[in-house]
Amino acid sequence: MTTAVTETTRKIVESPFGDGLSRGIDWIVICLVIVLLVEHEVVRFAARNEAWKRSRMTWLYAGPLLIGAASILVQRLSNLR
Amino acid sequence: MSEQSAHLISEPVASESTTRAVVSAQVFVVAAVIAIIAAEALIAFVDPLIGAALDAAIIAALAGHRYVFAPTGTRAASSPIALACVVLSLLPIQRLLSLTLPTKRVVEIVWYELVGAPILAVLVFLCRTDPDLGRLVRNRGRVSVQVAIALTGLPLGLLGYLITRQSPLETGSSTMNLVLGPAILIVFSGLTEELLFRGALAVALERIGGRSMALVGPTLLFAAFHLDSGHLAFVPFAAAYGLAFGFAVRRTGSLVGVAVAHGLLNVGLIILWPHVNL
Repeated sequence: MTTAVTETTRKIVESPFGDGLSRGIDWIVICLVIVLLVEHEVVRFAARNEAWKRSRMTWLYAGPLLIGAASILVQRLSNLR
Repeated sequence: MSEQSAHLISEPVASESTTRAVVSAQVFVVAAVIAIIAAEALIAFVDPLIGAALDAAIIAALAGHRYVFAPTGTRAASSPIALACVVLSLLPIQRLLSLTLPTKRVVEIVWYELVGAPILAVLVFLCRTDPDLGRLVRNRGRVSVQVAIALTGLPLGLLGYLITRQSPLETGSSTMNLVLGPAILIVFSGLTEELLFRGALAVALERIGGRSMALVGPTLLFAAFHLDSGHLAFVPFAAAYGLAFGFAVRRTGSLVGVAVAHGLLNVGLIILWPHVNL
């Protein structure tokens, strides 16, 4: 039992290609990455240098999620999701 | 940090002049903790899509809150609310990664590595930039005490197996079973989860709400993240050993013992005892 792999993880992996659940999760992750990156750029633009200094930490949120988004793309292209 | 130390952080939580800001931060952090627990419950018992959508909203809210309320410039990284926002966001991020990264192309044991690696990378960055968290990782404590704490993972793993009676995990080849599987679990489950829950989360919550929040918050969140394990009886067990590990870290000032204990617990629970089939 770990916090990283759960019953829902197994359910999504075992679900057929194009299943509603995995498709819904994919859209949630992709939309979230876009929201975070837009938020990052808006704050940088609005407050210029000062905000840029603090907005570097945004990559701690967006970095792992970008990996998730890339994984979704690869899995879609290889017909796994 | 000495064996008798009771604080994870080196400075007091707040001065009188910042009381209002601290209360505001406490309310926000408690609301975030409740929302994260609610998302886990939704994923486990209602609809994973609704829970995942709530997780995404929590991440966006934490990022936005940090932009608005965290101090700017050189104090940004060490600000209590900035650290709390980043660390709390790692929990829903881990859940979303656990629903997107695993694939049929690799055996199940590798899923732990896929989900754990991005989270571990962020935690390593935080350990290098935050002095209190870095000290928890660097401090080895007394070797005999840390070995004793680490060895508790063996009986805890057996107890966990007796509660869940789960079937053997697919690990692929015998090499994966004997060497790589346990190594993956120790690094990407034991070390990563202890760095997250008893390390970064405890330090961040102690800065916001003091010692009680630093013990209760990570314990509740750790238990909530086991709601979707498929074994509800395991949830109070996870809460109990999570709380005990929290006390051990607070008492010894080191994460080494509990990280190894957690790794051994998962190796026993997921790989060893299901194959022995008691």
